[in-house]
Amino acid sequence: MKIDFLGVRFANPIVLASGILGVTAASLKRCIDLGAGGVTIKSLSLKSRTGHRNPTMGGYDHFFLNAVGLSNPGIEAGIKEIKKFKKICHAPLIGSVFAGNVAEFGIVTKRICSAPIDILEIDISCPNVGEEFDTPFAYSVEAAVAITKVVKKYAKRVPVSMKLSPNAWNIGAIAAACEQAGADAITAINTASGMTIDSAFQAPFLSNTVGGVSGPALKPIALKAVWDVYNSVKRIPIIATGGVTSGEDAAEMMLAGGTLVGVGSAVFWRGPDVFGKIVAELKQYMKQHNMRNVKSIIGKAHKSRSA
Amino acid sequence: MKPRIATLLNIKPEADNVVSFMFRYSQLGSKPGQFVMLWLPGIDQKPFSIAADNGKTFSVAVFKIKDFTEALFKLKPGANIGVTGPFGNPYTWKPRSHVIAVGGGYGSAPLAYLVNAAKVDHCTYEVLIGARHKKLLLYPTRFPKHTYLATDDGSAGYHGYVTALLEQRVSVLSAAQRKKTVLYVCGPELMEYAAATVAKKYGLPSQISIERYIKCGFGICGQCCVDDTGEPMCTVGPVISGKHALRLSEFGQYHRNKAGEMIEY
Ligand SMILES: Cc1cc2nc3c(=O)[nH]c(=O)nc-3n(C[C@H](O)[C@H](O)[C@H](O)COP(=O)(O)OP(=O)(O)OC[C@H]3O[C@@H](n4cnc5c(N)ncnc54)[C@H](O)[C@@H]3O)c2cc1C
Ligand SMILES: Cc1cc2nc3c(=O)[nH]c(=O)nc-3n(C[C@H](O)[C@H](O)[C@H](O)COP(=O)(O)O)c2cc1C
Ligand code: FES
Repeated sequence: MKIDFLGVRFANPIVLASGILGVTAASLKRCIDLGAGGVTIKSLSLKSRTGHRNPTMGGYDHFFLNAVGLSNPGIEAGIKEIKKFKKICHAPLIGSVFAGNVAEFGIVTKRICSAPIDILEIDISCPNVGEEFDTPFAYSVEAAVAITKVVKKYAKRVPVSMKLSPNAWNIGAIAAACEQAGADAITAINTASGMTIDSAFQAPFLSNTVGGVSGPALKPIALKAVWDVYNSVKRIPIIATGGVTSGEDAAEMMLAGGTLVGVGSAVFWRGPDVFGKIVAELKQYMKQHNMRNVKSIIGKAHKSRSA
Repeated sequence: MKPRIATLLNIKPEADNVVSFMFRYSQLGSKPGQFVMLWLPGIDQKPFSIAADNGKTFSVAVFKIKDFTEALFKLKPGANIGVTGPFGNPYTWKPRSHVIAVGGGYGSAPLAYLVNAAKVDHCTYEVLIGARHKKLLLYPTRFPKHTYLATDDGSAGYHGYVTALLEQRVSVLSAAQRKKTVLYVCGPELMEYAAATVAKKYGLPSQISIERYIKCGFGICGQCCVDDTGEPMCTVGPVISGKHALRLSEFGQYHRNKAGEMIEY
């Protein structure tokens, strides 16, 4: 199941998505121990943030909804956790940062790239901090390009993956523009904007009123996004994320064009050992379809379509 | 997991700034040591240990601190709140064993629930409750003849820490009693650390309720994960064995706040 991604070797293609469980070195390592091929740290910002008041999340039959509000201890505390992770674990670590403006993206990128991360993911797609940060940068080609350029300037040796949003109608065009601006990969997707209303209390459930939808309900949307991105970019690979809860889901995401597959909310339905479960199921899938090399799955659905 | 409505039935003052709230709520299905998330729409949603649950009503004992607990204290009987849970790993006990419950702060609340359940299983028990001052003791008279008090200022019971009192009690147990004794602990972390150390010293098993900052309460956000195992305390805990607790590098040393910053004890 080993796979190379931007020159980094992953034991398997299943990676922990940002914001689920992995806040500290120890919690990230636990996801590796439970089967993940790599992990993404919860997104970090220049200053520490407490995030929104509760309720910040809820799990339902077919979807998960959150508006955590990007809480994090700030980049310096995050760097300590990253260094600690690399001391206790050899698996690949994907850093993740966000910021309120282009210049600040440059500063946090420079800081986090001084730490031993293998890849850097740039979160320009969180839908839950609109009041503070206005529209996510991932909704506009111009903003996505401006940020890609600045982070590439400061990331130096570290390859950069831009994390995009399904709320943008033109995710393919945005991915292509990021590639042109220097992005090394695309992570697709972050959560889709949504909300729940509590019928008993006749009020929005989240304190932030609106939030981001993840989990199974997001999967068809994520598949289409990955499909579009794969068609739109020239060479760069994709971390396909959104609604994956089984090995079959992971295979579908790879068939659509993902090289790595991000898994987050699935922990809610299948527990923290979901990573190992998905890897085992993906192996089973490959066996059933006489596939020896996991790379042969990537983008295969596109080929069958044109054939 | 949609919140269900609980209706406030009864408010009972317990100690200085501590009140028991009893809610009508069918089939919570909780076990001692578990917690619920209480939601006041428009205000916040926070974790509270279950103090009693009879299938028709449940109770929590709340210390007034700031925004959320102040808002709870303003509720009148008949008010509706939202409840999710029960969450977390509970206390466990064997029939006919000897329970020593050691509580501080609101810790007496889940411990009272535990003692009442263990009594049904013919357990013997003693309850040790500590506080800075007698007016802060929660449930000092709930289990008459079985309760031992400790106050830092000597205003009631033993003059000193409840963990020193615990050591006194444990040291007088006969060998036969010791074999069937388990310590159950819930309170401020430094007290818990001292109690776990006493348990270790006397070779007694212990179960400790570890409190960490809770956002989700069901093992997704990672906010409550501890060093160095990385386990979320909302699902693996709050109740873990004293042995396990003493293996956690942060136990009795530090915890993380709402942002994830480390705060030393
Ligand atoms: C498993 C568990 C069981 C608990 N059981 C009880 C109980 O039975 N009775 C009781 O009075 N209190 C209990 N608490 C603590 C209770 O949740 C806090 O006192 C309450 O949230 C304070 O809210 P506030 O708005 O009044 O004050 P704030 O100003 O918001 O908080 C004051 C302090 O309370 C703690 N706190 C606040 N929010 C949380 C949170 N989401 N998770 C953990 N700690 C928090 C922090 O230490 C904080 O510094 C429990 C906490 C946990 C984790
Ligand atoms: C509770 C929660 C917190 C999240 N926090 C972040 C974050 O900090 N940064 C980020 O880029 N994505 C964040 N996400 C989005 C996930 O990384 C992922 O893109 C999305 O949930 C879709 O994948 P899933 O269906 O497997 O969860 C968060 C998602 C959830 C559910
Ligand atoms: S509070 Fe979210 S994982 Fe424990």
